[in-house]
Amino acid sequence: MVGVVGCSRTNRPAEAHAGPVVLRVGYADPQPTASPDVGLNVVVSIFSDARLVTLTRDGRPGPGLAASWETSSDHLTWRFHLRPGLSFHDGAPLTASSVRRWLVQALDRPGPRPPGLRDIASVEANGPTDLVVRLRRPSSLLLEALSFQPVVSERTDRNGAGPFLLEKRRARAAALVAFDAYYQGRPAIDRVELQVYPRPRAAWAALLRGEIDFLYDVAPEALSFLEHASTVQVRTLLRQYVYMLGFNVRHAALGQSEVRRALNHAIDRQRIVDHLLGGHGVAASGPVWPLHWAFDPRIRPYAYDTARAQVLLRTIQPRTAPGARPGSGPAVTFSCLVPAGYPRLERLALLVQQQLLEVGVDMAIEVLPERELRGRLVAGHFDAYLLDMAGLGLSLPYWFWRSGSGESAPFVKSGYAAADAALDGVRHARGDRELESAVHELQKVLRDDPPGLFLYWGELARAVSSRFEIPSDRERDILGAIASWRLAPGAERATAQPLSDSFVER
Amino acid sequence: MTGTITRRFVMLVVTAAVAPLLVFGLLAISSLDSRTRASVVATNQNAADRAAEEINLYVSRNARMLQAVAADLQHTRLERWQQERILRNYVLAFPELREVTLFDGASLPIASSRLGESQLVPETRDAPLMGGVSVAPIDLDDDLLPRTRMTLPLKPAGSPASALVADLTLEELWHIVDRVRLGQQGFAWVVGRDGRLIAHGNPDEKPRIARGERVEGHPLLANASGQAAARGAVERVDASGRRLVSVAAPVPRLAWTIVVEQPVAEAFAPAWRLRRQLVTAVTLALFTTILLGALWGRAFIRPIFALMRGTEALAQGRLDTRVRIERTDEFKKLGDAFNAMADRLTELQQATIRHAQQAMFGRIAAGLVHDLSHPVQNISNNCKLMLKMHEDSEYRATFERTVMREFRSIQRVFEDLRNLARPIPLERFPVDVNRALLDVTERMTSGFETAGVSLELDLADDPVYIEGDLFALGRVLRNLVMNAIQATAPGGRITLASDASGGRARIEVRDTGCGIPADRLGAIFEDFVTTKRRGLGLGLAISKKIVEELGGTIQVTSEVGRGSTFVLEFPAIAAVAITPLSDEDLHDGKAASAIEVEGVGRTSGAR
Repeated sequence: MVGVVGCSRTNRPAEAHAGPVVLRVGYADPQPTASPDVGLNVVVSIFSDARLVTLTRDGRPGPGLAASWETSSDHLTWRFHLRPGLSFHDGAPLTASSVRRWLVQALDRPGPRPPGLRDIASVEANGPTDLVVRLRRPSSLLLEALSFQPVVSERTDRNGAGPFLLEKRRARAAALVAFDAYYQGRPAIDRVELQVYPRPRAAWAALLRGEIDFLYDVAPEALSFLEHASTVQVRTLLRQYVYMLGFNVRHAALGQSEVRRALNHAIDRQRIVDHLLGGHGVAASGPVWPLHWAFDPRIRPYAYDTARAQVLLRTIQPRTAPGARPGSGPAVTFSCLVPAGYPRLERLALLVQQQLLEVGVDMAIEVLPERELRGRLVAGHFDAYLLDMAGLGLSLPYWFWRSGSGESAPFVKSGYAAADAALDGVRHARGDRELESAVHELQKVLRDDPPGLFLYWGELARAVSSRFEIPSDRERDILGAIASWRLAPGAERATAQPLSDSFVER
Repeated sequence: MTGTITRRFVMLVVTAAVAPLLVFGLLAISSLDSRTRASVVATNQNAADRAAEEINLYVSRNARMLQAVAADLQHTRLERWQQERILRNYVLAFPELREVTLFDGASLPIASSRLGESQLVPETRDAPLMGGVSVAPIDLDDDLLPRTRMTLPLKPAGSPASALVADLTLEELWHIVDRVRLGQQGFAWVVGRDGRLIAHGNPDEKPRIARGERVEGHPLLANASGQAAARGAVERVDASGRRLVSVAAPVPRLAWTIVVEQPVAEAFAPAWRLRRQLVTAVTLALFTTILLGALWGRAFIRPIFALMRGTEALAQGRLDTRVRIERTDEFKKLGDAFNAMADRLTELQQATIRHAQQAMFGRIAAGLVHDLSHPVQNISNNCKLMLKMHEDSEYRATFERTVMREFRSIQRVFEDLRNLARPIPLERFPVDVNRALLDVTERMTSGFETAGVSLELDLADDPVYIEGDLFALGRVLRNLVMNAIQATAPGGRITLASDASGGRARIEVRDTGCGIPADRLGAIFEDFVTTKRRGLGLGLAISKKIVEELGGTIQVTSEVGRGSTFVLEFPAIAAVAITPLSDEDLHDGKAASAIEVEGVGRTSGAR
């Protein structure tokens, strides 16, 4: 079972206490059908980019390149104070003017933009470190939007200001070196080598063989076997993606709120978490990140109550067929689009199908290639779909669930607009109290008139060789503090290797 | 004697207590070691057997499940969507089932639990396990979990289905192996029929599975190519140098082997702990026994030693010695009896001393009376005559001579007494013993005649020189000759002899007198001991003292009724020429002062 392409990446001779500290990162491409560039770009960005502001796990903005900021009383003018002496990887000074040019470029870029950027009216540089952003309307999502966008030089996308600067890049590999002028101080790691593996197993095997030091994402199933290994440190945290089954409310039966609520009652979310993830996840009540500071935990997920589901289903109007069947047979039938190539999603679809069938709902499953599935979603040609949706902050729920408003086409043409007002309330909230209230309202609307079945938030695990000391704060994603990673005392150093797009699978 | 008692007592303690304890300890340790080893091996073997059985049941259960799926699909004339629903229900009901697909004779999928394209192909080369189900070698899936493929060939009449294939995750297999924990470092691992590691309970060893490692050189797997190893146990040393107890158990039908290994250090730790405790206990018991034995023995022997020391002290004359035994047993009585005996002996000694002192005093008094009465009586008589004849000048001269002579006699008695109490002043000069003997005979000629005893001289031909005091030697010889005269009846004979040989000068005074009883022979040289009826008995004591101070010896042999012989021996010196002493010199005790030419002298051969 050895497939060899080109030259190999084998165990590298370790050289103790000499040479640069090299962190070898393995990344298993989660989208085997997509271009490997997509995944690698994401990982490279984590290591090489810096943002104007950062976002903590609970959704609070924090200082980034901007040390501080303030807003006017009408929440329409924001002044950002950049850290003095910033520079891009190429050594060019990173000033308010360069940030202004970057932001204007981002605003002018065609395609969907985060909602926080859509409210920007103008951007001005006021001196070398002061940036003034003026808004058309108050926006609570501005800081989130700025935290998503890496600040790069206008000359090239690759010229950022993060802890590592890109040295070389191949289709499936990249090498970065420590950025001496990083604003949080030069990282203790001198060099980062990224390698994309075509399958999780290949990446795992590489970690266990000592060929890489850090595995970006570990499957929950493998956790219990490896979290006790002394050679590997495993850190788990809730992944900011909600698994959901969205409905097209234009569907005759699914358009009825009672049906959607009935279907939510028919789903045993905890059973899904246990069956599918071995308990490594939490049931979802909606698309709002449950660890967000404004999240209202009083809005609970739908209780698993098949009796209640059946009561609700009896109220539907059979005349609204073709989705509903009068008389005998399933009360509701619909088909669900599932992306091909994701066994876990397939299994999730089967579990949902099985549970819905228990209350008389027949969900057919239609597996489609990802590209085709996206086309169907945008075109609105579907009854339901199964996806994992990013839940970072509040911008992504807005972007996903806000029906078209002329600013941009909806990501999914589901016809669902019940939450538009609540989403706008979130977007334009002034201050924390208003935002908290708006988020509560959004959660309530999405629960009372659900656009789909929000199923669970799964866990994410990262595995790091014990050769490295990583931050002890278990509430943070260790990647967010990559600049503070350091080689453990007495640990051997790996030697830097030339980049290769090939690998050996053992 | 003391050593013997102590040795015997030590032997008693060793035989009665120490040796049995040692034997017990050694037997217990030996038994503990062997039993512990058997117990550890049995426990580990048990764990391996149980795990093997669990794995077997687990795989068999999945095989039976596949048979159940086949039973649900065969001969039912179900449509494809119905078959798929059955397959998917099984997949959802049994999490270990990743995919189940029904294939036709051309190995094309008829129905699959997968929503998308089936990832399986039927494999007919796999070894049949049970009920026709075959199991492919273990592989790892993308999540690094072990998986296998089970294939069940179908022979349905009138159906295109030819095989049912299931993709199974064997996560539970790892759980089963992970659950086998022996202590902190005892783990189980499983090797497949090709020797490849397929599960390991030690998290740090799981990378070996990812590396696809084969287990080589293991003594329990040495002959296990394609076959599961038999049950067995060995001790082996692993790559890191640890000694391990290793047991193996075959997984029936799968040709897998489960091996349970535990470091010897940990497996036998409780036994070693017990052994240490046992050794400590036995050692403590030994020391306690020895200590108690020593203490008790000492307490037992101490009165014996005390009695022995007391007895030795008594024997040495220390009659004030008493033993102190503070016990209440027989030793106490023995000690009391000893003390009573010592008291009695002291009383007897004191009485004896008193009697001896009284007797001595009597003898001294009688001797003094005897030795002094005659001169005193002479002086008294002469004094009475002097009152009458003081006008007679001749008598006055006679009186003077007589009184002076008697006073000299009294003075000699006093001198003898003083010589007993202090060293006799001696002036050493070369003395010819022949001459000394001749001088004595000349002076005592009248004595021989008066006693009617003949004198015989048997002197050496050549002068016999010793380093001596002529006066003191003359006194000794006079004393011996006087005693001989007094002891010899008229008609008897006294012989004076001298001789020199071997560097020794020898003088003998022999008589044919009454002799000395044997029981008194040993005491005649003691003070105030005499065989005569009267006198102080100081003559021989003083003689012996003089002889010994001159470096000589004096001995006596005697036979009652036959006579006595006194033998004096001195270190002889080379012959020298000496100036003869005048009578006055001899009388005054002055020795010759001029030593002339060595080797020149005078021979006195008178007989």
